[in-house]
Amino acid sequence: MPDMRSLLVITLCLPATGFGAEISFRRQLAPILAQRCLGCHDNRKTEGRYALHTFELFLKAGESGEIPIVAGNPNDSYLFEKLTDPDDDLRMPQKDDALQTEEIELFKQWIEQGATFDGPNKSDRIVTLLPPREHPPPPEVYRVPIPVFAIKFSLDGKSLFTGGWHELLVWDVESGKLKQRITGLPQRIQCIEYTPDGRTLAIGGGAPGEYGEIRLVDVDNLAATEQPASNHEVLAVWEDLVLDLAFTGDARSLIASGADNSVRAYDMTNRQESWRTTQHVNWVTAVDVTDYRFAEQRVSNASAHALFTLNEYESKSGSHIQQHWDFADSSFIVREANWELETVAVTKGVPPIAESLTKITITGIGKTYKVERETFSGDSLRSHAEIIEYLTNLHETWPMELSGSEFVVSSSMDRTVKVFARLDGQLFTTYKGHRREFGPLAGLHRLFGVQSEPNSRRIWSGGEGQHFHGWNPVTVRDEDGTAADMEARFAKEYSVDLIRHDFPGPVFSIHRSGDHLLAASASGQVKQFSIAGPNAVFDVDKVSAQRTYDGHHDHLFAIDASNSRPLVAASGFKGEVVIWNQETTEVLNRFIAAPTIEIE
Amino acid sequence: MNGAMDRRPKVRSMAKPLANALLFLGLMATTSSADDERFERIEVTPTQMTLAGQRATAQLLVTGVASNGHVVDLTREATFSESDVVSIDEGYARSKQNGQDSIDVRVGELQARIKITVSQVAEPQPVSFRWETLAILTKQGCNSGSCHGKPNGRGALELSLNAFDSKLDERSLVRGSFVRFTEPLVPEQSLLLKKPTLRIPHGGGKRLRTDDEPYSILRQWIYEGCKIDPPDFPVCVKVDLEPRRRVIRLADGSGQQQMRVVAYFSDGSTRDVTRIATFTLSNDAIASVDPAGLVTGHGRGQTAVVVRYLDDIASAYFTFVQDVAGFEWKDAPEHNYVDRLVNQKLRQLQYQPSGSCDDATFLRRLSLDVRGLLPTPNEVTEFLADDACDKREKLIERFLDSPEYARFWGLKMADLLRINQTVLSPEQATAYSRWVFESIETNEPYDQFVTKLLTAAGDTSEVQPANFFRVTSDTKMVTESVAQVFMGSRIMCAQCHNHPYESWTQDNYYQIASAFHEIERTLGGEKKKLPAPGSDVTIGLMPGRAMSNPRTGIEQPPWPTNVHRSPEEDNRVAFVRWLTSPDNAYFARVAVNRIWSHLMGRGLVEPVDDFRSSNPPVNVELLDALAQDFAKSGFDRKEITRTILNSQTYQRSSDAIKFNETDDELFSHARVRLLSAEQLQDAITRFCDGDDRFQQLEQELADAKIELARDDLDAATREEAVKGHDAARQQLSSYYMTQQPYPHLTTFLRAFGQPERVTACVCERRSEASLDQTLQLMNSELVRKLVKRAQVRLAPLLDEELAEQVYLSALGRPSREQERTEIRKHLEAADNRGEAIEDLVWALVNTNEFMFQH
Repeated sequence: MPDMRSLLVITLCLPATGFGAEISFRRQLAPILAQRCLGCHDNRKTEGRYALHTFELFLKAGESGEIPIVAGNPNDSYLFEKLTDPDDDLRMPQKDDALQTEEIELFKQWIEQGATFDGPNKSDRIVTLLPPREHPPPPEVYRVPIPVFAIKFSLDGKSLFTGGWHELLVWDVESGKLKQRITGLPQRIQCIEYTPDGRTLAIGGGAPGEYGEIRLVDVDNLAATEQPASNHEVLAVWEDLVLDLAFTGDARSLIASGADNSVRAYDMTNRQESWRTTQHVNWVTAVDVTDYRFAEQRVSNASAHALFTLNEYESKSGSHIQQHWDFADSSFIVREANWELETVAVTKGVPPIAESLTKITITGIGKTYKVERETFSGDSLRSHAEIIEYLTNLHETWPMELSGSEFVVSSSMDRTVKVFARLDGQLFTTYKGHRREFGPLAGLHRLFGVQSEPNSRRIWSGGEGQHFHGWNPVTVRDEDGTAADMEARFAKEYSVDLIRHDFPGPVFSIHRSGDHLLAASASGQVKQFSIAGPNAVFDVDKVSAQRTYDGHHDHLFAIDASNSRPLVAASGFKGEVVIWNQETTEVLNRFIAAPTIEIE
Repeated sequence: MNGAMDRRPKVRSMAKPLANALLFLGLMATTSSADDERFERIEVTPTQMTLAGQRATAQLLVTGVASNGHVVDLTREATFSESDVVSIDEGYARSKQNGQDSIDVRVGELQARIKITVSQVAEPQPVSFRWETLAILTKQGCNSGSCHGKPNGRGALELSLNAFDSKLDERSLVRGSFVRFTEPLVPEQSLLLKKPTLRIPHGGGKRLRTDDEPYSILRQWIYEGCKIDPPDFPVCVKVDLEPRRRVIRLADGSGQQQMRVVAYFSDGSTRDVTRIATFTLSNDAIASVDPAGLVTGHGRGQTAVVVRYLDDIASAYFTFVQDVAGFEWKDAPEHNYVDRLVNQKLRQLQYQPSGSCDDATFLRRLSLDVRGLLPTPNEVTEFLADDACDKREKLIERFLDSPEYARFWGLKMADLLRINQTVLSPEQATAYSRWVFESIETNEPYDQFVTKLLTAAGDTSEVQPANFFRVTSDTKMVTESVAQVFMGSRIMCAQCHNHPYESWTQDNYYQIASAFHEIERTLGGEKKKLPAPGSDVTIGLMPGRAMSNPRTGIEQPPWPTNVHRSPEEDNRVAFVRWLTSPDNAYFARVAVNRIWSHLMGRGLVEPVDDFRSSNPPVNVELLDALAQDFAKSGFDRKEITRTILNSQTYQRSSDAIKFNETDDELFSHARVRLLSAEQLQDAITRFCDGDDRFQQLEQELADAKIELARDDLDAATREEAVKGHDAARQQLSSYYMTQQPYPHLTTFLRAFGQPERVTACVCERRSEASLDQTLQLMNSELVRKLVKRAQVRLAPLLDEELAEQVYLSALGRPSREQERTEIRKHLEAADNRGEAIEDLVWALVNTNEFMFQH
């Protein structure tokens, strides 16, 4: 029990922490370790064989064999010894300024107090223990324009949200005037997404190289007050920028991707992280989710209907596949062995009707592997009534527990697009068509955009290079053969639809709007391409832009189209926003998206 | 080895409080070498200057001149009078406000005065992207080859190596990776500033402090909006260093010298770039340099101070001398200027040279170095018996006149010209080698030899030097070979980017290449890249063809680019004229350095084909003197060889003495060297076979020559005579490996480092010891075979005579009493005399005295 005198001493020795205050490892020490020590002592760089990126490892001796923390006894704790070493060359942090006296004092007291851990889990990375940052207010006016990485039209198309410095700016589309400033957000805003119900905006961003964040901004709340609250709900904290966000159609999951090479899924019902994957080896620049769920199963050949013709693989293996695509509008595609039925939804409440039936003939193996498709539609469907009935029945009796999952598709600077199961983050396949040694598509292209197409199995991806690629994840998976026959397979055009865009620089942003893809590039060009309907041209050699929107001249990072009015907007390096009439390509408005810039 | 912030913080932080203390007390620093000097005056450079702009700075140098001529840097000891227009700290002046002033500089009682004009302080001075920002990133080591300057960079930031490609740097820094590195709105939040100051973890460590000048310049560049220099912005045309050469005495502690670096721009302006240039040392064992350009010596020796300012590299040469306890110079014999210059350096650095070697050692050494062969027993006894005072001189002359010299040194040249059997047939290789041999035998001036070689054209079976372009089968290989062999430059690094250690730019590489790119290699009228050995290749020209820099796509004019060539003129001609000109900086120096290296065991520049300002010669004066002599003599190779051989330096004993045992590069004593592969095999051969077989072959060749010279032969007999002569010559010349036209790649020779002649690099001939070598000497087929032959030759001799013979032929010296006794005992005790002789021979072959030159 401390007596009066030592109580006094303790009081004098405790500066800001207050009398007898317990030092919180999580709140007070973790930030110091993260900022001053992690650079040399984490899983990537482990100087002296000592790592402290988790609490567990923080306690373990390194190469020296000395115990870093001896509870209750700072003088025996090697960590404390290193922090206070009089020799500049041996003192930690090495080759840097020493910790401040107050900071060292915190460590000392914490050790004296028993060196307890107040985080949820000792094997958590300590950066995850750090609280979300409190963001500073932005300057009243911007001295210079800043690049705008994210823009979003409001649901009614009358406002445009743009990313600012620690804030979201709301602009009036008609007048180009600033309407609102939503502060309390990260330094850079990289993506803005509405929840499907339009009531919340998910903001992804952070500070390059050090911090990432997803915040949820209440849209209703915005409208209510002039000065919206700035304590927006934090969904997640990352160690580097969050680059893109995508909601599933049912609003239950939010997928995020970022500059730490990860893709993560969040359960929006309880705000917990569902899964995380680091299959990519470079930044994941964009994500999207399909509007269909895919499932497949293998069944024994014994149960094959006489209508099916099994190929060599299937005969030899004794089993064949059944595959099922379940779309949001309740239409479906179902396949067994060599027959595939595609249906289309007509009226709500009425079962979808058969649209086409495809006979798939697979012959050969390795270099002689060949897939031929013969499609029947319209009247010719009648002669295949039996198989259509069979397949429809298969869809209806498809087991619930195998109802499959949407695909999450992610484009990356590692030159691939990966396809994950939304349910558990398992890697389904990798699309490597943007990396080719030979042929008209030769090149190793970093990717910046990916968009799923509604009511279609097709995914569109692009970035560097001259083409957008449209491909089916299941076909890609099936064709992902050996290296020897890869080129031969990808030379077949049936598996990839190509739109030649011929932008002179990389495309940094792709946005699907209806039956079109809008793309903005490093050269300042904005173009619209048809991906469905009569104007869709898939030709590896022929450029096929439908419309061109002029007005920008420098790197463009963001593009958006309104869902309620024919508007397109784009922004980029120069910080300027240009808004066009989507149909006529006329420039409707342009302004620097920054609170009145002081001209210096 | 960069001037990054974290290298020597101690020195920097020591100098400041020290200087402050001096200002306060007005005393000279106790750690400076100023203590013992009585200075006559101080000199300040520059004496007058103009600082234009708010960021203009200038490093002043204050030099104390002593009555005995010594100069000492007193920059850090000097005090400067207060001024309104400029602030001066540690001799570093920064502009304060517009105006003019004269500044009093004082050190103790001595003073000097300088004039300073400051202007344009109030005008905006945007930070230059290239000349400031990129210079700083180079200085901090950000764009070095191990960090962001490597292909694909690090951590999303890719910069060009040493900022040689500003366009790439612009793309990366201003817009790269989604504008990752800069935040013009709040510059302190830029990754470019947060990482190097370690406010965020940084793999490259702490490179900047927030109170550093480079930090504030980078910050300003970002604040100003990350602007790029306009296209007409002045470019740096030259960089000047001061001092360029200095001798610094280390007296009770370290001697220091402040550097000053000035850049000259195309608009006539100058800028002091001392604090943003990069400093490195060629010898950082004896000195260190801090980011402010202060060089501190730690031990005696020599170093180049290499200064890089973007694409310009310049070097200063410092010699640090320190008194060695008990050292007192004793005059050593000087036979010629070589000795004078060698001894001058030795005396300066306080090494006492060893005395001369004895006659037997001299003979063996000379014979191996000049002819590649051991002396014969007769040669040994004759030389030792000769008492003429100029016998060494005469011996040198005799050996230089021998065909063995021409063949052995022809072999050295053939190494560089890559005459081998993979590209050429044995006959072709022999013919090509013969051309080289004849050039040396007739002592053809070296410039003529090189001219013939490099401008050769025609049928390779008729024009032997044209084989050079056949063997080096494409332009890039020719470029690199020519640069390495004749310019001593390893220019291959400049193929992809500006040379990291020298001023060669990537454009220069392709300019030299353009000089050789007209060459067309044809076989039977068709272009042929890799013709089969034995085939008849023709070297022709495609006039006007030049090479482009692949990175920029711009075609490069042939080197030298400032010479006008007419369109039909062979581009090589002007190149060779430039190369062989007497004042060419490379040609003579590289040639004499190679000769020196062959004779002395180490070049004045080492490696001999790696001349660069950051790899200075160990004795600049000597190299220059030899080069000048060489050029003046009309590039007479024999003359230079003769001069070196006649020097006392060459003839020194290899025994080190107390005051030179730590010297490894200044030639205070001879170097102990392992015999080269060919020398070793020939030594064993000559020892074991004696000279008889060789003499026999020589006789056969002489006879064949006589036969051929007869003019009364008919066609058939003449043809026979020619065949006989060629065969005899072939036999003779293939007996000794040191006399071969092309290498015989046996395991024995390979183990001892024989080059395959795949490249022109001197490094192909390896000299490191290996286990293989020991095993070869102990038990190879070659050794066993020769030992048996030796036994046959020696068996008839009586024990005493045998003992004397083996020592004379193996070690080039008479045997000692004790050695003869041992041998006699060994032979008498043997059951099988033959085997005992073999054992004796084998034992001698495996001694150090046999294997090494000493």
